[in-house]
Parts: sequence; structure tokens; C-alpha cells
Amino acid sequence: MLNEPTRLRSLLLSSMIPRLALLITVLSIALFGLSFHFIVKQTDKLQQQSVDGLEQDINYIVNDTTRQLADLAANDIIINALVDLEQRDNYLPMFFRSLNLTQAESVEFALFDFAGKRIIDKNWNATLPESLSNAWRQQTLGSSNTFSSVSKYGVLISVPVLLQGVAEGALVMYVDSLQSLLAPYPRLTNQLVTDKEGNVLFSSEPTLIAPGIDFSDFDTKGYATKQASWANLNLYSVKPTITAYREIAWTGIVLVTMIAGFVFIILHMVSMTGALAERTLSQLYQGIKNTLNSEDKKPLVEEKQVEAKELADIRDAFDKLIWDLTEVSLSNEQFSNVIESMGDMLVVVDQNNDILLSNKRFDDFCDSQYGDKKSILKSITHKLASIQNKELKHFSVKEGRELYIQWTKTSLWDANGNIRGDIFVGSDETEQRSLESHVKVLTHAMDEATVSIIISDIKRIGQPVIYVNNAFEALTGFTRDEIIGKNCRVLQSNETNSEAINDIRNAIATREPIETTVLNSKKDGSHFYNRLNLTPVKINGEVTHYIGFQQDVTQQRQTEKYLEEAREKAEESARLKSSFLASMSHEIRTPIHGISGVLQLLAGSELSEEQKHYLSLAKFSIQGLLHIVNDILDFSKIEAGQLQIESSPFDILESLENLQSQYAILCQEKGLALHFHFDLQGFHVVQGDDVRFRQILSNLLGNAVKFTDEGHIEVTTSIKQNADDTLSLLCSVKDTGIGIAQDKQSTIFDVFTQEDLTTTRKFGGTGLGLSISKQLCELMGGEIKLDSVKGHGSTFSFTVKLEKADEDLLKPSYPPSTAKRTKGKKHKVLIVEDNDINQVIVKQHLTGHTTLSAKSGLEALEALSKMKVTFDVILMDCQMPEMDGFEATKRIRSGEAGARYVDIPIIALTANAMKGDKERCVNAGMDDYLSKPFDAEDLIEKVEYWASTEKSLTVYSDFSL
Amino acid sequence: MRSKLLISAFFCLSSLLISCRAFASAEPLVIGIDADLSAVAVEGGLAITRGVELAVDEINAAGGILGRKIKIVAKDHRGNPSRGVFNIQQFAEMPNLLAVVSGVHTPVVLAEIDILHSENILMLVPWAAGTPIVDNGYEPNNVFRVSVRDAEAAIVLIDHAKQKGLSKVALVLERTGWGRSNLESLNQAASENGVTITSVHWINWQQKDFSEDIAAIKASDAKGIILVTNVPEGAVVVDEMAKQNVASLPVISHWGIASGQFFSALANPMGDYDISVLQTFHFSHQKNSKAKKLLDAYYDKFGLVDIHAIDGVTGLAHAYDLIHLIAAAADKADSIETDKLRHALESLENIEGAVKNYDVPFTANRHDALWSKDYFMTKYNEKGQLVTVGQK
Repeated sequence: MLNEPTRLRSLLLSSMIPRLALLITVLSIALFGLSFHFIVKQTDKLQQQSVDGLEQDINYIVNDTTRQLADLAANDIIINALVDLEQRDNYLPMFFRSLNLTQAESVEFALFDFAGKRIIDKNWNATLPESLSNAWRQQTLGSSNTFSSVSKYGVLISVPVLLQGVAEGALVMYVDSLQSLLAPYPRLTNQLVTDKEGNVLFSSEPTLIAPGIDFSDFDTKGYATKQASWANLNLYSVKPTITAYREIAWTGIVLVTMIAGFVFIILHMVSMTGALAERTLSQLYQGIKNTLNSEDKKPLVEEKQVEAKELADIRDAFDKLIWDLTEVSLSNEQFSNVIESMGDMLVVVDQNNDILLSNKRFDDFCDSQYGDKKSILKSITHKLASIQNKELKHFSVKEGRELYIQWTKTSLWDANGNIRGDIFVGSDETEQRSLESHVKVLTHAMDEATVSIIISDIKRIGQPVIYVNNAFEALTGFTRDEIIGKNCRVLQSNETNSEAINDIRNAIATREPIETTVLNSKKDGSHFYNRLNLTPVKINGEVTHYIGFQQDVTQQRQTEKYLEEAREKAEESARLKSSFLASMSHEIRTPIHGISGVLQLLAGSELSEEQKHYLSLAKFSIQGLLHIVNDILDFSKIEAGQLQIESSPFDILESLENLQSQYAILCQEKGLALHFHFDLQGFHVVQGDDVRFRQILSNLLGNAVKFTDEGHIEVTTSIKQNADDTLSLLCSVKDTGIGIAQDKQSTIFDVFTQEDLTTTRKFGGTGLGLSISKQLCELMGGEIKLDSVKGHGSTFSFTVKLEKADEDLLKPSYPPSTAKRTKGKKHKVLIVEDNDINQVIVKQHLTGHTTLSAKSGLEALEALSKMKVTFDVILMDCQMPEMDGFEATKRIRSGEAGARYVDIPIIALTANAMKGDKERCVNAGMDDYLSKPFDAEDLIEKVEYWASTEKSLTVYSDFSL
Repeated sequence: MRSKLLISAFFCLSSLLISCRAFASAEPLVIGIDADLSAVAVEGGLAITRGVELAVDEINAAGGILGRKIKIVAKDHRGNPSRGVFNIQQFAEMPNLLAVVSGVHTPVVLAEIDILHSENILMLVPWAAGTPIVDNGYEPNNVFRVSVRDAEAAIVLIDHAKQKGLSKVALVLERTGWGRSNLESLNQAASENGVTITSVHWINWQQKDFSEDIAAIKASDAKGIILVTNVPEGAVVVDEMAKQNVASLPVISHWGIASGQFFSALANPMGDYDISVLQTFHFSHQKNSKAKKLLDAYYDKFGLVDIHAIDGVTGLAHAYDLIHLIAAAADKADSIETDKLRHALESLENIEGAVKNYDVPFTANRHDALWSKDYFMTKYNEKGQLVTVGQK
């Protein structure tokens, strides 16, 4: 190619142009020929289409009109008209006038009877030749068929009017010429319809061929015609020949232009192809030359240019060939590196067992053995003479232990497939052996452990059990074969606590350890409580297994359950007891109140000294009884958790002084000395529960007086400020009484406990006082202690927590003596009380005033609103039938008893001494509160105070019991 | 041989001619039948033809009329009045014509009235019920009828409606002379009996859709329908009732629907409807000796059938009686001249018939032999056969 004098492009052009010229000439001739053929065919097809269209038109006109006529003939009005000779003139003409079937103007219709007599018509002027007249009658009336005729006489269509399949009449349509039916349609070519004689019945171009002439007279020269026949008619399409050839001329011009265009484009393409091939080949040549002459491994062609795929493939093949040559020299070196880096030993021997190749690992191994390389190899080859692989034991001198080597023998083949020797590969299995024995030991330990162990693989689907030990089998009854591969869910029973299961599931999902107790079932279906300890096993930082330790705690569970039940029963009985006591105490208070009231009334009457003495005995007994009842009530409140400790400011010094003066008289009577010592650090007004404090102290003082016959009683009170700004009050009562034996001291604060039965006999008492005091101390954040020696007196000391209080916060109590009252003034008092005795007592107490009583809240409301007198104060019992005191008070305050009573003082009377009564009274709108049984003096005092107090003043009420 | 043959042939021929001549004065009398034998009331036409045939057989067997046999010539008018007129023209040209028996259709007979009188032909009417057929205004009147008279039928139909407690009825009439003649008489009978006609609906012959009218009846407060149509239109009406779920509405029908196979024309079983039909004759109603004779003759000639399965039995009995009446009249007149026959018919007395015993069948002013007392109502049983009311 290099020696070729002509360029590739010129060569291509010079060889292609003559052939191309010939090809184009042949192609042009063929194209002209073909197009001429197609145009002639097309013209013929057009003519055929025109004739077909004409035929369709005639067909359509005849068939469609016939169908419409037939529809009309089936109309029941037409049929009825044939039989209703009398009246048909009433509806038939109107029906006929509305008929219109074709576009043609001169359409004539008529209805004929069975005999061919015309009954009615529309535009009927038809003068038909005899033959046609007879023809349609015969066809339609005679044979009950439709009939149609297109002839020079016009178009006539007749259809029978059928009754039970036989013509009873005929409906006939007539148009005088075909021309008027067909004319309006646009035509492809000139169309003609003639009869068999050649009379033109229809012409689409009447100026060319007039209807009515004989078609054979028409000169068809210069016209192409196409003929078809339809019934007794001939259909023609007539087209001037000249128009067909004009189309050929136009097609010729288009073809010549197209061929010229082709020639130009082909020439250009050949030239372009030549240039491209030339350039690519020179580049390839240049590239190969460069590669061969230089070591440069740059891409052969730097500039990316358009080139053929084949050429690019050739160049790539060259590139690869050069690359391969370079690679071969590298691979030998890499091969030996690979062999040396192998972890296993490798030795290649020929057929005489001479070493061809060995790696460093093998050489090192040989060094660690007795004997030289050759003898070692010999023993290996000998042992593997007949087998492919075997594990051999070798003693390592260096390491002083046995090595386990797995030897594998492979034949060495040459390129021709002949065996040239053997390849031995040895891998060191020593580590693995030692691990295996380690695992065996552990497994045995686990197998024989007394605690049940189970291991699940949580990475596998279904998280199957993969291990259980003997203890597991013994515990559950499942053997290894039965459980391994299954989920440990099989241990669950229907009664298994679903919460525990969820916990376990959640723990496993979050890969946390969990310890829980679940109810599981053994293989035999019996249940046991399983103390389950699940621990995740992490491998490479990921939890893959869970180990479960199981323990049967059924026994323990049952014991716990029994204990729990026993405790609940005990608590329940204690609760029942307290509630019984509370209700009893309450019930007892009401009659006590009655007795106490009556006694007070008695005291007011004239009595002999002896009677007065008896009365005082009775009063003493009532107070003792009340004291016991109050104790029981307190106790049951404490038991029921209803006892609330108040927190309000009070003057502790005043309280202590009151107690001192109270007990000083008692002590004096018994000949005892009573000493009070204070160390109040200036905190004589404090925040706390004054009443309860006094209750504790008077309990202790009462006991001290009771159990001391001679000597003295000392009360020491001190207040200490705590770091958190609260106050601690320490109070001790020391007596020189009978003392308490050491062994009884621990139970002295228990309920119903006195030192011994003789004490009860000798001193009486409920045995509740100390217990209540202890509880009160504890409720007040303190404690109570006893220090006593039998026969040498006792010291009770207690602490309670108090808070600082400002002196100004002290509620001023109303001193009855200072209230502005007009003694002796009569007040009007309304007593609302359902209990007759109580009512009588109150009335008697208030004989100095005008009283009126009501038995319920309703009665009270009625009395208030109906009576003219205005009451000054109302005494309101709280518990009443129909309407209780709370409700009645609310209503009075809301004005139900009249505006004058909205602010009337209302004093509550209640036998209930439980916490909460006070609040209820205040909430209901009551002003003061009297707890039954009350003293006559208290009652009178409160009534007189409230009756004379202006309500507009801010009033503090003393709600103490 | 040849001469012998010729001679015998001659004898045969001459004897034939002689026999023709001998019977010239005794040519058979012709009774024409002009009825629908192929279109809408074929069963009615056939029943009439059979009635005529059975009577003619009896008369011929007894020696004929005035010693002459009777021949039947039947012509089919297909219910088309024009054909009817055409048929009468043809009968008019026949010698020895005694009378023409007409068919089911009133309009056809009405159309023929003029030509019957202009050609002076006696018309015996065994079926067509139109009142103007007999009250045609011609004097003398050539039409004699043994059949229902619409004016009388209306009384019976309205009376039946009243008995059924139907105070309000709708009328469905065919749009022909028959329908119009009934409208008039029904209107009159209704107003006399205190029955309200809520609406009047016309149906064309061969009409296929009657839905709007049934919907209107359904919407009105009509309690029943009085039907005056033939079988095809009657079936359209009744089918439409079933389609609009008013099949249970009582239908009191003139006997037009008894002229054909009404049962087989229906889309639904007959048991769905309550249809009563006016009748004048039924083998289980008339049990006189003439009726028994007719039934025996019928069995003999046409085979044993259930008496309920004899279609158009009224036409059969009427035609049978009419032929016996005309025969009696001919005997009485001793002539076949129309005027004499007419006069004889008008003066017959005490003739035993299948339908009833005719004391005086016709008079000069009364050409109807049957009156409302001779009518009764029948019902279609589930097999589609007419049974007298009370029969199952």
C-alpha cells in the first residue's frame, strides 16, 4: 500500500463513478416505467371506485327507501286503515301527509288495497305503462314481496302491507326519474346510468351528456370509460383521457429532480468515505511504528478522532500483544513471592522424589525436626504413597511439642498432560487440636453442671436451641434430640405470664441480659416456676447466642404465695376490726350524749346531797365512758389512716400551763408533788397540733398520776432548733410509781397491753392510751420511749417535730366573758334535730330562750319561711332523714328560707367526731360547731354569743372538739 | 277392438251428459261462507265452517232442502272488509245461492251491508256482534243473526263487572266499527248501572305496544278492564298487564278473544290472570237434545276432544242453528227466492236449536235471535280453556 502511487480516495472515485452512472440510468428508466404503470392503474381504479360508488348509491337509494317503506307498511295505523273502512279517513290522510322518505322533490306515495285499488296517495300523478303497473301488483299484492324498478319510466318501489304474512295492501313510492333522486351527490368522475337499450337515465354532468339521450350516440373518443351493470341497468364512469397524462408529466419532473439529488449525494459520500479511510489507515500505521520504536507506554493515539470500529479493534489487538510480552517477564518473580508468602508448607518433587521447589515454611519446618530435609520428605512421601491426604504427627524439637500437620498430595502435570512429580502441601493443625480438646473439657463441664443450661442461636431463623445440658433434661423431661433445633418456646404453656414473655422478647430484641421467673411446662405437661437467667453471648461485638440458666423455683413460689395470702387475710381482719370499732364508738356516743344531757338537766334540778353525790358518780362514769370511746375512736382513726395532724400556730406555754393546773388538783388529792420544767428557747408560739400534743402529754400524766401513790411527778419540756430550721420538742414525764418490769417494756406500747392482768384489775383502763400516744408521736415525726425499773418509777419521754410560728398568727379566740352580750335577753332559737331525746335536752338547756324545733332540714326550711317570728340562731343537727343539715344550710344560705335568713348564725350539732366533719360544716356555710355530747354551758354560751353577734364582723370560730 | 273402445267411450260421455242434464233442475243449493279462514280469527272461521258443515250433513242426509242437496262454498276474507265486499260480489254471481254465512269480524259485515242489499243476498250472522249489522237501516233487512248483539253484550259485561264489585272500569277497544259500536253500548249500560268508566283506550289492529295505555290504567283508579278486541290485540293488552305487574286486575272480555287460540298467544300462563269472557254457548251449559246431537256429530266428524277444547264453540253452535233455521224457512217458503225466504225466516215458530229453543226466532222487526238473557260469562281455566263460571 505504501508503494501505491494513487491515493485511496481517487481510486475509490475512479472505480465507482461509471458503475454509479449506469445504475442511475437503469433506475430512472425503471422508475418512469413503474410510475406510468401505477398512474394508469390508479386512473382505472378511480374509474372503478366511481362506478362502485354509483352502484352503492343506487343500491342505497333503492334498499333504504324499500326498508323505510317496509317499516311504514308494518305500522299498525296503516294495517288498521285497511280493515277500518269507515273511519280511516279520520286519521289516514294526516298520517300520509306527514310522510317524507327521500330528498327528491317529486316523490309520489300511494296506499293500495288488496285488489290494487288506490286508497290514499300523496302527489300521485304517476302514469305508468301497463307492464310496470302489472309487475308491481303481481309481485307485491300477489306474492307479498317487495318490488323495485328503475327504468326510463322512473323509479318505483312497492312493499306489501302484511296481515298474518299475506299482503292486504301495498305501499308504493314513485319518482319520475332517477336523475332527481341521484343528482345532489358529489361525484369522483362523470357518472352515467343507462338502461339496457342505452337510454341515459342519470348523468352527473348533464351539460356533457343530457339525460334521456341514447348513450350509443355519444362519441367516447378522448374519454376513458368503465362499465358495470346493476339489475337491468348499465353504470358508467366517464373520464377525459387528457387529465390522466397530465398527472404523468408532473410525476416525471419530480422523479428527475430526485435522481439528480441522489447523484450529488452519492458522489459526496464516496469522497467522504475515501478521506476517512485514508486518514484512519495512516494513523494506524503511524501508531504501530511509534510503539515498535519506543519504550513509551502511552496510548498509541493521543488525539481522539472518529475512526471505524474495525480499525480500533486492530489497534487494541496490537496494544494487548505488546502488553502481554511485557507481562510474562514479571510473572515468574510474582510466582515465587506467592509461594513464599503461603501460610502452608509447599514442596514439589519430581518422580524420583527429588525436591524441585520448596517454600520457606517447609524449610523452617524441616529445621525444627530431627533429621535432614531429605529424610523428612522421604517419610512424608512414604506415608502418602497411596493416599491423597493424611494428618501426620511430627515432634518439633524447637517447640518441644507434637505438631499435627495435614498433608495433601497433588500430581504435577506438565503442559502435555504427563505426570512429572508430586506437590505436597502441609497445613499446621496443632492449634486447632488444642482448641478442640479445650472445648471438649468445657462441654463436659457444662453437661454435668447441676444448673440447667440452654443455648439458643439467635442469628438463625426461629432462634433454635443448639445446646442443652443433662440438668436441663432432668428438669424439663425433654431430651436433647427433642429440644435441639426447636425454639425454647415449647417450654411455654398457656398459663405462662405473657408479660414475662414480652419482657424476655424485648430483652432478646435489644440484646440485653434478663433475669425473670416464668411459669413453664415440662414435657409431661406439669408446670413449674422457672427462674430464668438469660445472658447474651457476644462474638466480634455482635450478640449471636443466648445462654439460659434455669432453676425450678416452684416450691419457693408457692411459699411466697401462701405468705402473701396470709398477710392479706391478716390485714383484712385488722381493717374489719377497726371499722367495727369506729362504727361502734359512733353509735355509742349518741346514747352517751343522751345520758350526759339528762344528767346535766338533773343537776339543774333541786336535789338532796345524797342525790347530788349519786349524780356526780354518774357524771364521772359517763366521762370515763366517753374517754374510752374517744380512745377507741382515735385508735380506729389511726388504724384506718384517717387521723390527720393539724398544723396551726399555738402557744405551747399556755398549753403546758393549762395541763399543769389541770393535773395539779389531781396530784394534790393523791398527795403527789407535780413539777414542770421548761426550756423553750423562746419558742413559746409554735406551729403544730396543739390538741394532739396535749393528748399525748395528758395520757402520760394521767398514767403517771394513776400508777404513782407517793413521791413526785416531773414534767420536763425542751425545744431544740434543728439544722433545717424545724423544731424538736422533747418532753419527758418522770414518776416515782410502780414502774414496769424489764420484760414487759417492749410490749407496753402495743394495743390493749398493760403490764399484766393484775394491773388491769387494779388500775383499769383500756390499754389504748400508750398505743395511741406512740402512734401520735410517730405521726408528728417523733417517737416515744420508756425508761423504767420495776418498783422504782418510770420515765416516758417523747419527741415531736414542730415548726416556728409567728406570735401574730395566733388566732384570737373569743373569750366568752368579754363578748358583748346582754345577759338574760331572750333569743329565738330554731332547733333542727331528729332525735327526740336530744331535742328535749337542747330545749331544756335553752329554757331561758324561745325555742322551736324541726325534725328535718325540710321542716326547718318550712318553719323559717312560714313563721312570722324571726329566729336569731339555728342549731342544726348534721345527720337527719329527708334532708340533712349540710343541705339545709346550703339552701338557707342561698335564700330559700327568705332573704332575712341568708346570714343567720347556724351552729352545727354533730355526734360525728371524725376528721372532715368540720370542713363539711364550714363548706356548707355553718358558723360554729358543737360535738355531741356537749355541755349545757357550752351550748348556752355559743347560742348567746352567736345570737348577739353582728354577722358583718369577721368572726373566728373555735372548732376545737 | 278399436270400435268397441270408441263405442264404450261414447257411451260413457253421453251418459255423463245425460246425467248432467237430468240434475239441471236439481243442482245443489249453495250456502256461502265469507269468513277469515287464514288471518287473525282462523279458529272462529273454522268453527263456523264446521257448524255449517255439520248442519248441512244432517240436512243432506235427510234429503236436503226442497229435495236439493246443499253445497258449501267458503271464501276467505282474512278480516279485511275490502276482501269481504269482493267475496260478496263473487257470491252474487253464483246461481242457486241460498244465503251467505258471515264470519267473526263486524267491520267486514258492516262493509258488506250495502252490496248485500243491492244484490239482495241473505246474510246469516253466526258471530259478528256489532249492533249496526242488524240495525242497518235497510227495509227489508237481509241480515239475520244468531249471535251476541253488542248493545245487549254491554249490559251483560257491565252487569258482570258490577257483580264482581268493580265500580270503576277502563275500556280497551279495537279501533274498528266493532270497537266503536261497543263504546256506545258500554257507555249507555255503564251509566244505567252506576258503573264509572275511568278511561277509554283504543288499540289498532296488529298494534304491538300498549305500554302507555296500561301504565295510564295502572295509574288510574280503575278496578278492572273491559276488553273488546280479537286475539292478537287482546294478547298484547294482557301481556302488557303482566309486564307492568297488574296481571291480577280483572279482565271482563267480550268474546272476541274466544275467536282464536288466545291461550297460546300469551307470554305468561293463564293462571296468572283473572279473565272472564262473554259466551252464548257451551257444551257444559246447554244440555238439550239438539246440543247433544251436535256434539255427537262433532265427535263423529272431527274426532273425540275435550268439550272445553273445542275452539269457538259459540260460532259452531250459532252457525249450526242458523243453517237449520234457513232450512226450515226454505221448507216453509217452499222456495229459494230471497224475498220469500226472508219472509219465512221472519215467521218461523218453535224451532228446536242447540243454543236454545227458538219460540219465534225472528220477526220482521227483530232479526236478532239471541238476547242478553241468553248470554252467560265464562272463565279461562289454567289450561286456557273456557269453562262456565263456577267450573274449574
